[in-house]
Amino acid sequence: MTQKDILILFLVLSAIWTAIWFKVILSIPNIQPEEEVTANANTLRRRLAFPMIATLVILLTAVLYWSPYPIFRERTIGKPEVTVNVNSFQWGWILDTDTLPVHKVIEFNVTSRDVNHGFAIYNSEGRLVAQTQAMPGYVNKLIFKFDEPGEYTIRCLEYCGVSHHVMLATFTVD
Amino acid sequence: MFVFAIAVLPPFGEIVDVSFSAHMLQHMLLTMVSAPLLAYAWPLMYRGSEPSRFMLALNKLTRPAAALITSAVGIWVWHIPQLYDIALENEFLHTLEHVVFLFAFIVFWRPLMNNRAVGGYLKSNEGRVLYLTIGMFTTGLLAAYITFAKHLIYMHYAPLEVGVRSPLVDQQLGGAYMLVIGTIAMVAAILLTLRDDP
Amino acid sequence: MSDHSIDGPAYGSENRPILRIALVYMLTGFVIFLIMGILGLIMRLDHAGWWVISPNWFYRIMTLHGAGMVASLLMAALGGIIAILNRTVKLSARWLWSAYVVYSLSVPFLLYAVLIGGFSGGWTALDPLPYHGMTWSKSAGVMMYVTFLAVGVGFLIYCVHIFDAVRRKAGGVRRALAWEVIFSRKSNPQPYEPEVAELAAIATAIIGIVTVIGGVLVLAPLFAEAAGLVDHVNPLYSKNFIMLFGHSIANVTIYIAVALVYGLLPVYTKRGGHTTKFVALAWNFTIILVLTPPPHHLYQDFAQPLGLAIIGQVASWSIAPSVLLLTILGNLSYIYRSGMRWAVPSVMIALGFWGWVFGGIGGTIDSAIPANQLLHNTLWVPAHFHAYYLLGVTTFVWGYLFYLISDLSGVREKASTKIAAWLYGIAGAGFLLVFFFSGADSIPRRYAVHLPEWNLYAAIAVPFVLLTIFSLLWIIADMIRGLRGAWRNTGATK
Repeated sequence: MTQKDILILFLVLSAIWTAIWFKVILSIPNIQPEEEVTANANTLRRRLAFPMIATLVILLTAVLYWSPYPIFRERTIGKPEVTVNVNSFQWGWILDTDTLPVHKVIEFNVTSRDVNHGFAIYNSEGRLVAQTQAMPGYVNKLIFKFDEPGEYTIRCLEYCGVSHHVMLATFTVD
Repeated sequence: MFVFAIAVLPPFGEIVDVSFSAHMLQHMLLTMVSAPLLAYAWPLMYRGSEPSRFMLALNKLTRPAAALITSAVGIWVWHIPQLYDIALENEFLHTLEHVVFLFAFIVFWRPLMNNRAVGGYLKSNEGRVLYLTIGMFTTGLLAAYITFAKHLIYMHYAPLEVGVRSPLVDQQLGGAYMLVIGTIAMVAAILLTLRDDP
Repeated sequence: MSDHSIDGPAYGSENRPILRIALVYMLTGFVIFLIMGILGLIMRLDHAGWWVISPNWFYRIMTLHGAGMVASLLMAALGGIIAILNRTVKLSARWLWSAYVVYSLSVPFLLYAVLIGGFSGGWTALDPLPYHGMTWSKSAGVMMYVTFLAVGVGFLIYCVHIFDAVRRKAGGVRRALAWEVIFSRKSNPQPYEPEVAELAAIATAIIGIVTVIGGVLVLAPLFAEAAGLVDHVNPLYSKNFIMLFGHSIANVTIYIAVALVYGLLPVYTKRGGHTTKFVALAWNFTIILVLTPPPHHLYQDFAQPLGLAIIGQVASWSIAPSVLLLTILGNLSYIYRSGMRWAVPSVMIALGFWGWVFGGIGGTIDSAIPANQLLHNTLWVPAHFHAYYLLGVTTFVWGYLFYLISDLSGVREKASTKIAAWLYGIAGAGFLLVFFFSGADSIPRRYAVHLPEWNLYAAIAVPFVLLTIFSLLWIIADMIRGLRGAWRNTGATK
């Protein structure tokens, strides 16, 4: 799943909703008694309720399975082969290596020395590929596998003060 | 009861020469405690007799707008660093400063009082709220400025150490007292004077 | 079935002093909203690369904009409730003024903290940032938390009074929450049916009370830290409770706003206005559905217990069927083939429902944990809540204010102002689409400086913002004609 898929899903659903909304707006001059409309609405409710809830429940398991949490990622991506320690501070990043292997499962141990930061990995096209929060006093494990070699950028994604937007670092994957 | 109100005047202490924050505490007692009490007792002066022309003129000052301006000018002027520092050196000026504060705030609190004798210009709830809102800003802005000042404003306190605090921290604390006590006093005033049937 | 709500005005005209308070709440909110809107324009201009300001000032403006918008819109919505509730519930001027005063203390403190103290930690003031700001002192951070306290306590005073007033009128909490309608039995052929506004008011009051408790549970330790009594507050704890407080305050606003719609829409559609079983269910669900999703703000804080993340996920998704099938479907059925009269308020209401679902689609997607992994803290997040606010809350609330002023003064709206309302909708939609596209393009949120390749998005957004401002000014020009009359017809009878 990429952002593009998400955007398409969003636009499709929004278009469907907008069409429904227009239908309601344009129906206004064609008056129908309230009791009939209400009765139809209640029927619609009864028909849609179960399918909607059922869909969400089914999706829920998928959602959890594909979540970024370590216990799930160890299953979906694999057990970590390489470990990288990431520390953050106002306003910079410290990684214990600046070159990472491609096609290997990597575990980033992310933490912070001061305030909350956001460890976000951007590929060379400027697309966000993975992230986790960098919290003081905690270590968050982000498991990820790079399929593309190249230069990657770390951006801070949790507002942390006046230089938040220039809190960057880069590393290479090969 | 009115007599009791007049009798409550704070003792003018000596600690004020050393600590800005203690000095501010004293000013707050003056303006936020004794002034309103005195304002409440103001009509006492009219007991029985006709108000003199002087009294009537003074009364004009307690119209809300005039009161706000008077009190604002009264405190801002004396917080100008040069004036403030000189007042600390000169006893006469210092007394004058305190008299001005007291007067300015009797005038400030007056419109909120309900005595029928004179004034009581703010009858509606919204009038009271608006008045005190503006009043909070005219006083609060000064307090905030002092609280967040990154350097010493009142050089008189520069060579002095107050216990474990540096003069700058003490100044910020003084600003904080102004802000906090002032806010509490004003908010209490609003809440106490709100009416269900205006 | 009570349907006097269709006959009379959509506010209580008898108790004039209370109506005056409602006007003050709404107008205060409106003025602050307008100023905050200008701040928003400045931010987008900066992002477009057309007026780049210093990061320090950008972040201060950003802090003001967030805090000011959330607080002002909530206050305005609460004012609308006062006006509608005034129809059927006895309210106290003292309590409502007290709430207003305490709540409004947040204004000077916020301004002092940001403009004088230099605080720029964002409206969420996420611990530990406010005390470790680098460009502001710890006391500025404390002052920001005092701002939270003012809003919290002010809101609490309001909620406690409303809870009590509605409970008393209904003769018990169960009746006030329409449980007799939901669990109607043959043994009780006449279940007590509260007015929709009463039900909405007490439901949201309960939410408000719990929200503020959450706020106190985080503010107390934070103040203790400032006083030096504790070394630091656990950041996971503070984030959970700051989010409980902040999310709920923002989220509950749209429910308070839609309560206004239930009272106002009947004026234009001659439908609705009664508390059906579905309406009753919707409001009861709202209590749970506002208070349980906050963990969705901590999906990427992997240190969070997994159970909480799951609760956040389940709760966030539960909103979709509940709101869609109950509130949205219900209100659309009031509009569908109703012969609804078009006027500025009804246009705004129609736009508001569009925006709510539009934002909801974005939000439901974002609240799916794997999607959130790619969208968290990008511009997708502001996209979703700006949709709820710009074309949800604001249209409902300003639509109601427009109606209130017009009806109170007897000054009717000009026929052409409807166009301005539609323009507002178009402007809003365009502005929001830019945000969603930006988020999908991984542009981070809360960045003072945008890369050149990102400028184009904001550049497209700016004309839409200007159109929003233009349409608002047009609407204001019409609305203001009735302001004096409305003011005169409220307040104490002289």
